[in-house]
Amino acid sequence: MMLKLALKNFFGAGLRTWLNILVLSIAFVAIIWLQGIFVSFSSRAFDAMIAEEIGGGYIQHKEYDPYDPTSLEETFAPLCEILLDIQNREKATAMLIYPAIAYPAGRMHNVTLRGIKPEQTILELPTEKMAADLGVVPVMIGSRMSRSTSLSEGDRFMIRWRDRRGALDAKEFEVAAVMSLENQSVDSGQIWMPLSDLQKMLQTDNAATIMVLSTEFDGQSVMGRIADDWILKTQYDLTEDLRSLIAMADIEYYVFYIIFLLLALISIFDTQILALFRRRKEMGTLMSLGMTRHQLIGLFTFEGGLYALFALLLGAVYGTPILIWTARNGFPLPEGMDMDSFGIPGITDTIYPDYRFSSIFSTIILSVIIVVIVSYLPARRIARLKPTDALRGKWS
Amino acid sequence: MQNVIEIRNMTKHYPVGTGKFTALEDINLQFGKGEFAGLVGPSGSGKTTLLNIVGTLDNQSEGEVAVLGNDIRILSSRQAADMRSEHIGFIFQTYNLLPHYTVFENVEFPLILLKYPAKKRSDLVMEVLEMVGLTDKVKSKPAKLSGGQCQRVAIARAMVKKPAILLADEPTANLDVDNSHNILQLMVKMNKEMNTSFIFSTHDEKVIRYLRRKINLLDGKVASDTEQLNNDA
Repeated sequence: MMLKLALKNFFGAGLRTWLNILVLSIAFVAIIWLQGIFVSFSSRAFDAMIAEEIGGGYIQHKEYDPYDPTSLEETFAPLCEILLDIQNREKATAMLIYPAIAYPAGRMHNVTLRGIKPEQTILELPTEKMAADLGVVPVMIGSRMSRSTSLSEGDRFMIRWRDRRGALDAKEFEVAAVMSLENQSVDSGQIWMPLSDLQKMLQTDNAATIMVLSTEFDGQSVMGRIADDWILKTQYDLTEDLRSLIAMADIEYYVFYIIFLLLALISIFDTQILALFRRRKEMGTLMSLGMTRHQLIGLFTFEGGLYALFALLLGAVYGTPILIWTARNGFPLPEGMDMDSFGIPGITDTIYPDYRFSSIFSTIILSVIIVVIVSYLPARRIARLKPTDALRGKWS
Repeated sequence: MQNVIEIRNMTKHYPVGTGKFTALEDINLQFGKGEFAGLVGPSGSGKTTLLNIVGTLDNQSEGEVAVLGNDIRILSSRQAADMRSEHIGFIFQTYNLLPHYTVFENVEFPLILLKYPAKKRSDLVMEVLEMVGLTDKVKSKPAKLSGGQCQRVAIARAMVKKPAILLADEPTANLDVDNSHNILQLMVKMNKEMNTSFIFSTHDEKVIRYLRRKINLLDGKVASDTEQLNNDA
């Protein structure tokens, strides 16, 4: 009975009903689309960081601080047998990190040298390209580094560094490959080279700053058996900053979510309030026919809920193809826009929204609940309505 | 005659500013089963207020009102709604039909509230529509009907559940002479066939002619209560 009456009133309102449904459906689709983008940001940022930088975590020199380049000259140590063993079993790969100055085209750039074995498979980097015999030390750079230094594949340039005794040394290097990296922190200002060459440059056999662990390897299994110079940083520890950044981005997402939903809810709230005033006599009639106040509140709330239901249906009709298309084809970032400037790794030139059933489902449920609450709030006034006043078109 | 409504020493006040306005004062009335009675008086005499109280839409301030043996003052909101749903029909001056419903659906509505099965609802609706002569309008919406037809739908809606009491508040106020007589003759016929107690609130002479009992209200008090033997009923 309630459904039939609600549907009659709902469709009886004509154009007003359809306008509300349209506005609410646009809000639903926009919220899901926006959520897809934010999920994409966070998941791709994590994926890129794990694949290109941290793997399954680090066993690192205890003094190593990636935010203090001046300390890099002191924060490495020879690898012990145990660490060499896990590297040989391809459970980890050593990385030596050292500060230097590059002179591409005669201009000076502070850089960080990253020595890594060309044959490593722990990080998803094309390090095998550094195995080429070029007559000079082959190095790799990322596309951002390429842009900022104007270096391209095949270009030769000078690097100067200070060796362990403090003496300045210099050497010529050749760009063996320009990598397309998603993670800015392993790209900007970074020069990748074979580990053995960097060790020779620093006259430190078998030295490394960090051991990047495989995602299948539990670093805890070797801790306690290696020197105190080394500490374990888990994947969780190393993604702490990123998680904080994503938490900030989540706040931005919720701001947009609230704005979109508010726009839709205002139209529903407005409709409900207007209906309560316009339909007082109808309420009085329904009471005289034997409807209770609670049934009337239920009826008006149910009518509001119908907006959410039909908005979902309408949104599904036009929103599903739009969302599928954007997920498959993505959409390019506007010209000149660089997500790095927002500090969000993982996004290169095209954003592919990532729509997940769980997040779509939870968004829909939450939005419908909010719509029903917004419908219920004005309807509560009916509880104070006297039938005689309602029949006269008055509020008690 | 068995009483369906008993009113004893009933008074109704309304708050007005810091004081109060007495709409009804010391009312003592009984209405029997199958009565065809009218509350007659000028505007502001308390007719509609009295009708609302016996219809459980409002409460008295003092005194006792029993409808079908139930003291309405102790009825909860839910019990009062149930009472209206099962035993009391209302007819309003402005018809008060549900605008998005067809004639059939308007008349069917009280039976839906009573949770009657669909087949029984359909039979009862068609039966009462036959009585009011609107079987050809079952699918029409109220906006497509004349005033007289709307009031006949309202009567059918009030009578379809065969209530013990039917309360009609100025039922002919918006109708022309012919339609008024048609409606009143229909109500007389239903009163006789269904033994429903009809109580009108009116100051329309056309209605008064049909009443078998005329209760004059003046300034919230019963001025006279007389039987009318020579009327069209």
